[in-house]
Amino acid sequence: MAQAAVPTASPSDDVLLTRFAAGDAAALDELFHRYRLVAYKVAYRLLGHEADALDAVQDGFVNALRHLDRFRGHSSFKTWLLRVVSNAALDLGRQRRRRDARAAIPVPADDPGPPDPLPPPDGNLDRADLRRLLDRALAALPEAQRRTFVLHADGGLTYREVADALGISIGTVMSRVFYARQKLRAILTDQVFP
Amino acid sequence: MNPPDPSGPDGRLPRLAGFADGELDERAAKRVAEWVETDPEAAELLRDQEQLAPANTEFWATVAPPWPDEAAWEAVRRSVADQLTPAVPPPSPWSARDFRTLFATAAGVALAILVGWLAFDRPRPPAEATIQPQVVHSAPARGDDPLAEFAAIELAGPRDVLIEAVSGEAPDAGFAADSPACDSMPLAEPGDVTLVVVRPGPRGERPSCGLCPRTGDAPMIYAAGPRTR
Repeated sequence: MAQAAVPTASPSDDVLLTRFAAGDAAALDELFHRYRLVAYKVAYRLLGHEADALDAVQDGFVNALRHLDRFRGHSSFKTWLLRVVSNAALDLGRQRRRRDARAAIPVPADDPGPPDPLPPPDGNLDRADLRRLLDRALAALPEAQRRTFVLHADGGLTYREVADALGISIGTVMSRVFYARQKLRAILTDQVFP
Repeated sequence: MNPPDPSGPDGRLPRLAGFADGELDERAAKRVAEWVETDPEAAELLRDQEQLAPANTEFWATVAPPWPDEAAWEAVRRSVADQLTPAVPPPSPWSARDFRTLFATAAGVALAILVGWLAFDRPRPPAEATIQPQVVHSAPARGDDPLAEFAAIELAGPRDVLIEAVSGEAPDAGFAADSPACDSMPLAEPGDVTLVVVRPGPRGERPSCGLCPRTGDAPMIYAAGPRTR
């Protein structure tokens, strides 16, 4: 009699972390594969740039796993990882702003500057246009508000997990998410939510 | 924009976000549901929140980031693995016998130095002056306290300090704090600080810096005092 295949449960994060600490390279690969997309989403939303986001993911994984002693299982590994990835992304963003500021060349007053890359507000946008609008609107938010919003919306963390990751209260998370959405909504109103 | 007073009429607005995300408990959710039923303005704000909530999967799928290809992922994975895996030492051309000879020689030299060191008086170097936090309380450590040997334990670092708003002008030099671990620890740079409210004085003068580093005013938390065995 044929037996039905029994699905094997994937090992928990704790099991993988223990195996990683014992030098199991396959455990590291599995953790990376499990969380790379969500880490990338968070980093991309904070940076708006694919290559920089990959750098932040790389730095985030390395730092999160190198400093597991600070994690100590107080939250889920995902919460810890996204906290570190978002730190790395914000650090990279600051470095990039400083680099860009140093490289900036004074523009003559009569120079009209580069054409606005944003699409006209005709309500007929493709995916890339919409994404660019959202990235630009997110970049206009204060850093703390943006980080809180992104950890919830793109990181998929609950308010409690965001609060744990950032060391703030749930009320503060709720307030930041509310006002972030209000500002985004105001910026996107004409083109995305007419 | 400063968040409103939670006890004021706008203080309950953030609950609309919690309601849209299903994060409120049953009682709080019921109160919000009753509120939006009777208040068209609140109902409109709730619709705004729902449009940007993760539950609006259609919107978030539309604005999904461009995904890297597998080659890019593989490069990142390999780099992470390389940085976390200690490099395997190359095979040594030395034989075990060479090592034994070298070890015996080194041990002999070290022993001779130790004997010489113990046999003669030596000038004691002056104790290094180290910056330590002000002692406000001292208590004997428990025998089983694994941290007893540490005089000061850093509980919060620069990344745990969040400067959200400054009531005066953002200083050009950023913010720094004193730390026993290092002389000056950067907390934020001018680009990290958002100037939220600037209120001129009664004569219209511009305010001075509202948050400046002061010696001994480190926004860090340490253990209550050095522990002694």
